[in-house]
Amino acid sequence: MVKYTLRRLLQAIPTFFGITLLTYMLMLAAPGDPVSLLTFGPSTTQAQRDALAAKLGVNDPAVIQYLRWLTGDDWMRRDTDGDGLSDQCIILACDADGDGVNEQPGDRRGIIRGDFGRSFTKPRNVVDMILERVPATFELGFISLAVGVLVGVPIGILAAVRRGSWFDSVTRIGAVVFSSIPIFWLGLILILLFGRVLFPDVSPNPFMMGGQCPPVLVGGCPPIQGRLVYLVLPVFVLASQGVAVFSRYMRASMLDVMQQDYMRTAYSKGLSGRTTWFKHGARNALIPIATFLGPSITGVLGGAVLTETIFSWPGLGRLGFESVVQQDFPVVMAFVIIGSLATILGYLLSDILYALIDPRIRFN
Amino acid sequence: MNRITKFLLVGAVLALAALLAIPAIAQEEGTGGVIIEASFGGDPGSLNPLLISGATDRDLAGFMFPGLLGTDPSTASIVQRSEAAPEFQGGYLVDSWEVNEDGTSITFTMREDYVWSDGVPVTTADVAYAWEAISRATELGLDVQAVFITEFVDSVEIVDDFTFTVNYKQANCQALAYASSLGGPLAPSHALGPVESLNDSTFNLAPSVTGGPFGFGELRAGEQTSLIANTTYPDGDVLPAGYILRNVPDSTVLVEQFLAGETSVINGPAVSRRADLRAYADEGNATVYSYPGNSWDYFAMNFADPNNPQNAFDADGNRIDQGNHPIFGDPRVRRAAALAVDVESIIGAAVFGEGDRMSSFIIPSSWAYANDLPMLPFDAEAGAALLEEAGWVDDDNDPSTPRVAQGAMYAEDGTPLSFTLFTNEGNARREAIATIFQDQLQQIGFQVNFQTIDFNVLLDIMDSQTFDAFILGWRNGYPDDPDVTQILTGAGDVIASGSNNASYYNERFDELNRLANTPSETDGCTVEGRRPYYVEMQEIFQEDLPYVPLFTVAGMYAAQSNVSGFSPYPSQLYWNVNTWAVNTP
Amino acid sequence: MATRVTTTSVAKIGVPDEAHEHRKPDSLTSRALRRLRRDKLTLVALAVLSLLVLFALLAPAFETWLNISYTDVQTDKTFLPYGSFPHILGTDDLGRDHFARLLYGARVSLSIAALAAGLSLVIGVALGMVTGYYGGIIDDLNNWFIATLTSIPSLFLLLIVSALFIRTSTGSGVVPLILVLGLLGWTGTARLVRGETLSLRERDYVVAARSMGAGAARIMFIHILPNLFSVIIISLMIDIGSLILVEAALSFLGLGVKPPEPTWGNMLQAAREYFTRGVHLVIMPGVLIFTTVLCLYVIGDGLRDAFDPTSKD
Repeated sequence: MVKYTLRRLLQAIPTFFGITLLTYMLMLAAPGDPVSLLTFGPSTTQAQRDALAAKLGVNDPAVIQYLRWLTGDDWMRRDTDGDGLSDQCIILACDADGDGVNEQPGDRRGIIRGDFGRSFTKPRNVVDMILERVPATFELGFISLAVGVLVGVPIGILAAVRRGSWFDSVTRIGAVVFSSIPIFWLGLILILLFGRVLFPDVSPNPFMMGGQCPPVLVGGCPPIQGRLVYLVLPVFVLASQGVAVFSRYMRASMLDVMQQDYMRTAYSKGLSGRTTWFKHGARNALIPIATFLGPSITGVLGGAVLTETIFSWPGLGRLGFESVVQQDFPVVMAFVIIGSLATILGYLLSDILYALIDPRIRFN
Repeated sequence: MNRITKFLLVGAVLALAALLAIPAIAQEEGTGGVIIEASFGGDPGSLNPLLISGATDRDLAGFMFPGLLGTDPSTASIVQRSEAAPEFQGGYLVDSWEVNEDGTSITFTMREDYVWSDGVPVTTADVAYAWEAISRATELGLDVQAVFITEFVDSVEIVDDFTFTVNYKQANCQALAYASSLGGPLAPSHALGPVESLNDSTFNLAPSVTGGPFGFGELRAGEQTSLIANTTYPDGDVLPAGYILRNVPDSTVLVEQFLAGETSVINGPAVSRRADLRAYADEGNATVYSYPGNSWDYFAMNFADPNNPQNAFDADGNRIDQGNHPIFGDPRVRRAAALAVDVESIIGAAVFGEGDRMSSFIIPSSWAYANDLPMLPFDAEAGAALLEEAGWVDDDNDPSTPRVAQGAMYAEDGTPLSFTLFTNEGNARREAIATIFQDQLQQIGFQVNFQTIDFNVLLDIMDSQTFDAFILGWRNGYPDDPDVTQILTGAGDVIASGSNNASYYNERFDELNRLANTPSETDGCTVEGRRPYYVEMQEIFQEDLPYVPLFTVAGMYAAQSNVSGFSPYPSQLYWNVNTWAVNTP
Repeated sequence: MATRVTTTSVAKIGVPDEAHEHRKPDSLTSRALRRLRRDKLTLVALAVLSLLVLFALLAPAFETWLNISYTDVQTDKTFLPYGSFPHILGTDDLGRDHFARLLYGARVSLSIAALAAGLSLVIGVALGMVTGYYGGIIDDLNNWFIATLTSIPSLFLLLIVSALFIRTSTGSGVVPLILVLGLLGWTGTARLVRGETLSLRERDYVVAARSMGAGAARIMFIHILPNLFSVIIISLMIDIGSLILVEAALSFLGLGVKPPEPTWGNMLQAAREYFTRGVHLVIMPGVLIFTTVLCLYVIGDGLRDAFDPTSKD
């Protein structure tokens, strides 16, 4: 088991490497120059622009820029005699601009050591900006995923057991309908419905307003049971897709299991229908659902961008979207890398989970 | 008069006195409730006055730290505290200043009674720290915003604890504004640590020492920032218990929140919803304050040859021949475009009437505005006739195809009257303006290829001066500062760095601009002395039309009717915030 | 794992097929077509979709007929409601005809989705066949690349790519969007085709062809590709559906097709601010997106059932 996990972890390394390479190549290939964006305004001089370009290292060869972004430059330019200037340099020249004075030592640690640099739009470290947004997205994503599973799976089982009934038809129609609704539009319509039509006079009206918690002067956000009403609409929107997907797949998986020989055997042994279906059938039908965890995380993260933007949810998706619009490249890069890491972890977890619950898989 | 009558009379008098006296008793400190505002400006990036950038940062830091120089909100100009009206004397530090003879240095005297929230007095040490951070920002890689003043400020000398001198590279009427950027607002140097590590100071997002009406409360990313009343505020009691700024990324929701009574104040609501706010106010629920805004949109046309962009001057200061734009090089075509556009209808559709027309490049509320200059008329027929005169003819008598050149000034015969119009992506107002422009210019025979593009890339296109035309905006500075050196004179016509991207050049205009910015020997930099130069510049501008000036977007503040103390000036909502109160009904 | 909506029950109600008992052996395709003809839901979806496409194609004719235009700005006729003849669906914030804009939006939205799906199909089928047929290092490389692409949440990847390449391009952004969606959307098809090819290349007739000296290209085109037909057509329908959703989401976020070029997504984005002034501007684009995607998904499901060799007639 440990060996299997380790092997899967090792397999994730080239994937992660590929992701960093791909995103960085995209970034370099993009037109537009961050320096001109950062220095827009009538009062900026060419000297200031040049200084900024040197600071960002935008004129170095692409490979070096990538290497610096990935692994940092504190090992490329080092200061051994403590005069504040670099004197031991590899890859980069100590005196890059040729003015006879060595450059300052490198202070970037690179993304593999958790340093995503500083934001273009705010005087802050990117990692801090990302990390403070993770809990809100985790909260929304986890609850939506849980609702998706807890509602979708029983519905799928019931639909399979009552195959051909009206419940089955409604389930299957509902699954396609909810996969076809654009979730941002669903969000807008729900705000319209709950905020303006159903409860126009409720104040405060969290359906209309969005957000994660009510405004308070001190004391922070109340615990989750104190602000469930804020969760209703965003979770509904985000979970609706999950319910659709899980019910659909659970139904198919259950139908598959019900045709297996051991089910017929159990049935013929005289066990009651309910016992057979739920004790033997559902348990086995759940196994393939485990493989769904990875893709689900991707779906939830993608949906979070739209849901958080519509419902003012203070999460990662909204930050990512806002950074994309403001062309805050360091934040956007971190956003993509962190999202991908979560997905890789999701796939890893679902593989291990699958291996754990499916006795047919051997760990070697 | 019997005893009972007497008793009743005395009782009535006492009751009346009590009734009159209750409102007279000042509300006690911290009992004024919590002011709640929402904005879509995003999270603050920094609350350290030296690092602030963007409106959210500035507003929050303005609550927590004193300004170095004060502004009189009724005139929007920088004022000496010793000469300011009593109600405008709070929250800033410089009492008075002396300009030296040739205008190249100013000595400022600070008040001695101002203390930070931890009791440490505010002194010139704080100014010295700010100057060190600004002047070493490039060298140390600090995210200090005021770094641009190093172009104009030579040095800052500390005379004593409360006196300092700013030396300028040359005399300029912007000198006070540059000095004010040293502390706009001022940071408490004793709480910041060494300048070298300013970027990473924990102070930046959790300032432990403050000095304005409010101190820092807490920051919840993506949700809200709260501030708490400063009980040691030197310039009077602070009535509100605190202030909360909610982070709401949607302009529709912002308005809905206010209409639902969940926020106390709204600043610059979406233009499409202002009618709703006025109706809400008419029902007695709120007070609305509208004022002419200070940012304005314009349609810029390239003068020079876009295929061979050049600077206005070479290294020795001689004019370079920049060629002519095939279409807009001809002043008659620019005028035709200006005549063909119905700016009033654009104001109606793009900002729902919430705008004031511009006659040139000075906003109507500025002291430099030429009141007598008429607006450009809307006369499409005259525009079409001008095009005809300029050698752009409708050769096939089909109004749906563009005119073509036939004896035009700078275009070969047969060239279609067709150009690309850019504006930045994601700005609904400018997209609407450009769409209407496209439609109205097509009526007189232009073909407009309208494209929205990412701001970053548009800047590159503008900087390289390879465009035909674009629609963008400028914001007039606050305190009121109509300087256009970088945007409309030859000095700003530099490829890749200047902001006079359309290569406008008029010798007289440049000269007037220089005069308007140079302190005169007789009276320095007075409004009266500078105004005539600006008036003439506006006349020239309207003649040359480097831009078709459009309109300023009107500003609006609104406060719930239970908010007392709300009496804003243009661009100054919170100048008296310490006397506000949000009363519970 | 594929299920489809309601069609099984519809088929059950249908009259038992007499020919079923002694049916001549026929091709999978004609059997599928026969099944489809009995599948009422899929047929209805097909009809609705065709109608939509027809309307979109006839957009210029509607403009002449109703004397409306999707670009004409009328600053004095903004936010007209439904039924303000000739603006049967009202006008938008600049007084442009909403119906005409919806039709032109349909053209743009549908062609983006169809062309992007086509592009990713070509890439996916080609890569899937080649990697499935040859295996080895090409297969490993391809698998690594697919693992990389699918490990980035797709909307994240699209956000960054469109921010970098669509917002920064001149023009309306339609062509770059097609390229971006096409170039990033092929992994599913490639995986599916690779799996099918893997099993097909061990079939007797392929082994026989190979032993008779047929070249790889010939085997792939003559023997494998035709057998992929059902897989291809099903994933095409589903892909077009989800690409319509993706395009709408991107344009809604302001990262897709740029105004004034209308698509359903960017019309929704513009309408968002005018919630209170013109609700009709929020309703219709969403309804059209939903209907179109629903039709495509139902058709895709119907096709899958029709082509499923294990399902009974």
